[in-house]
Amino acid sequence: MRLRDQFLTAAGALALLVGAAAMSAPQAKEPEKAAASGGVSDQDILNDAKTPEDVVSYGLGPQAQRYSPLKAINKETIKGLVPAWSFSFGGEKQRGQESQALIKDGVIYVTGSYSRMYAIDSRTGEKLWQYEARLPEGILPCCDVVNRGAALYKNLVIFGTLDAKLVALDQKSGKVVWKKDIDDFKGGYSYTAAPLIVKGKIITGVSGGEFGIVGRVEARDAETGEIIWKRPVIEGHMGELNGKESTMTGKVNETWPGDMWKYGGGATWLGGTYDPETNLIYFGTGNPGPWNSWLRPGDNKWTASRIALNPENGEIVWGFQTTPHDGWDFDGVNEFVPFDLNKGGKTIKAGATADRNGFFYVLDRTNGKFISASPFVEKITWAKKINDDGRPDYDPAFRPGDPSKATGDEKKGKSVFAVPSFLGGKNWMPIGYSPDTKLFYVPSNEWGMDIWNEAVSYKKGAAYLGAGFTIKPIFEDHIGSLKAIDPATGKVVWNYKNKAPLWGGVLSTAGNLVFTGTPEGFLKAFDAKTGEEVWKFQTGTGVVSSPITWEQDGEQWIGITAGWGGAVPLWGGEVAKTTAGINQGGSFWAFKLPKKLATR
Amino acid sequence: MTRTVTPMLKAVLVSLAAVAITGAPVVARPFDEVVKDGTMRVVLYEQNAPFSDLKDGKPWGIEVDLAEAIAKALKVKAEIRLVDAGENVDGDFRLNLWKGDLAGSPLADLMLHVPTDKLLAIRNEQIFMTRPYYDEKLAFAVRKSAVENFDTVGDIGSAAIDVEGNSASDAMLLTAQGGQFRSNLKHFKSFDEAAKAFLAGDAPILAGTRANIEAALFAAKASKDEIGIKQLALGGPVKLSWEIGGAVKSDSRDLGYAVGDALTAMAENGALKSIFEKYGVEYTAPKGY
Repeated sequence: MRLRDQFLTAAGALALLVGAAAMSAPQAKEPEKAAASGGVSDQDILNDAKTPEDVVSYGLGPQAQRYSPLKAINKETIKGLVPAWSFSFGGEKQRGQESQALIKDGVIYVTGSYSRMYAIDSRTGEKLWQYEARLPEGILPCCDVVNRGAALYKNLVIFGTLDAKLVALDQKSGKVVWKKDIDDFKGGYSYTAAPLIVKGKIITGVSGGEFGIVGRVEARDAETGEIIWKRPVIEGHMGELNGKESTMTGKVNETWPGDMWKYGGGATWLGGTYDPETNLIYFGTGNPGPWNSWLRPGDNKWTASRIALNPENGEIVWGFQTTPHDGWDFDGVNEFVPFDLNKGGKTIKAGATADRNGFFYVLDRTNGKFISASPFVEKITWAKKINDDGRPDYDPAFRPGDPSKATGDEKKGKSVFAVPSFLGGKNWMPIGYSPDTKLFYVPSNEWGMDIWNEAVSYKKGAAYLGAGFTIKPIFEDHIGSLKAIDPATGKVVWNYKNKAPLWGGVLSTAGNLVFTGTPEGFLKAFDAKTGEEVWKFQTGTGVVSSPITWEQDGEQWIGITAGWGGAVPLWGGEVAKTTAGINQGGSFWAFKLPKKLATR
Repeated sequence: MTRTVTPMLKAVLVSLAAVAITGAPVVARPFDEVVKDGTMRVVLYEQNAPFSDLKDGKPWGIEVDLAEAIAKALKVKAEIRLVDAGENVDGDFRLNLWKGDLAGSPLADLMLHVPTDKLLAIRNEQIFMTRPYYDEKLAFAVRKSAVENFDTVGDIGSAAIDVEGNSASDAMLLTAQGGQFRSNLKHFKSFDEAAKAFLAGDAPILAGTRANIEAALFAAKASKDEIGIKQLALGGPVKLSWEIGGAVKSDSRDLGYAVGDALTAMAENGALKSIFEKYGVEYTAPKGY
């Protein structure tokens, strides 16, 4: 059995080599492409969801459904899933590890906290090389020193750093091939997302919450790092294409008062997805500034929105605003995941997004038309529902008060209890979709916040108008909640409750399983149809990353980055009690199902 | 160690001793350790002219001079580090005085340009504030030829106002009078940029702190006959004035007292006044001092 497998693998490799030789012959005049043999092509990225022997993109394919067709590991066989090796990120630097690993040709590429990158032998766990970005003193990342992953293209592995640089390393040596500034970290910019590759371009957003930041999406030549286009997401700003001004985003003062659009916010800090069928890039945009909505009457486009962009020129094809005139810091950067929706006997090219504001939206991904929205967390207060036109039915009683009408000595304004809290029904952690069960898997959190205008606040030694808030759990026994949601009905099919907030992504497989990690340190597997917990493994520290799976030597493997951190431990109060005592860490765990157990 | 304790400080010491009984933590870098080391690490803000900034690669400004004068009085050397302001002063305390930043920079012994606000002190129990050394106010610079009388809120009318975005003046103007001045505002990334625009004739009014405005007009050698400085009582939730002092870690209180004594001496002998004047800023003593 074993011999036969090896023979088949060898024969397959030989056939591939022959094919490659035959194909490369007429292209011999293009040395650059020939040199890329063994590298990652555009086709490899587009096919990523269908090639289980590798994971060459963030999200297991540009649509980021986080679904694998592998099925050796299932409800019955999973008891045989064992750790194969564990790799430590080392150093004194730990904190949050939110990275999704990539794997190609027997090498795992995984990023660590503090802008570090590792290449590891996927069979043995031995380190091949490591790269540590030299970070300047005085970086002030708002929400921990995380990195969410890298991108592979040709012979490069590319990732972003906390001081807002993009670094492209040679996959074999770990040496820097190119390095570009996304922006000036001194101006409050940073970068933590995994970049997206679309047709030879590397697509990135920006992170940063300081005054003066305007969110934008940028495309660069992935091989050189040179800018091709820039698209600011706030109306009134000019885009750029091939070094020249292109078009204006929206129209000046359509949805912003005065000149406040100039510094409108809308940071695109979570990165995007791409759908080859519609040839559109999808990005989420962050909250507007200043935080108090009364100071900026209007919808404030395109903050707290999903936008679709043309990858060739960066033009916005459509936009959909989940929280117009946001007043709760519902930083709507959440990923938009394309899928085919079967409704009324028809197949609709749809996409779904679980918004920070607590609603799960389904849109027509060709034009952004609203299809449906349903709450995916409980007891939402800020809006009564989402209306048929996709706009929220706000509850004015739950919008923080107008500071110009504040009275009393401390002038706090009205404090309101808004659900969800500003950390969101869902934060950064990626959702997943299984074409088998036709369900979305959404890691969510049940929490609200008291929020008020804080008159006694100071910035750079001077008075300013701050926000005061206290985050509170909604239920006594849990905050975290992994939900399976039917996008056709908006109904929650099953719900796994976790005491601590969930902060990691999901993975679903053809083996009818859903994997996710918990701050309590477990990597867990659930029955994708029922939510029954079928397996767990304690990694020794909190898990706040996204799992991957791949096939290697005829065996199915599972990989996860472990290391407690992220934004949750930065906030105190009731929430901190659920995560007290969790130790930091920094490691990558690889598990496999030995072949003899898979066939039993 | 010899140092004089004023009667008022004695009273404070007594009340603090009562607090200490309930369990003060081990002293981290108190006065005698700073003296023994011979250097006092001081954190100041970058891009905070005229108080502190980087000029020609060197720390520059009122509080740079002040830190050096305090160090001299304590017979130590000032080691000044300029840092970016965080999201709020509470965060700056955490990053610079008691917990540290994510890059592992050394903690400072003293931070200047701290609003000596009782509520701010209460919610940051890890730090201890020194006596204040300056009374800061929000103000306007007005080009007299463009705005005739500028005595009440109503005189602003539809005149454009240059202002640093997200600053105290910005918050005041955005919330004053039910927000009626929102469309008057022309926002800039920094006060420097707003002042440059104003001086170039961009708008007839410039909003900012009194120190900001005085220093900018002084540096530009602007004529007092042409440009006046005014304070207006606008309604709204934003504070129009606050006092500025220093802060130390709460278990280094004795260092805080020593700094306070040095400040008192400098207020009395006129040294504070001359430091402020060097930068074109009129020294206004905090109330009660």
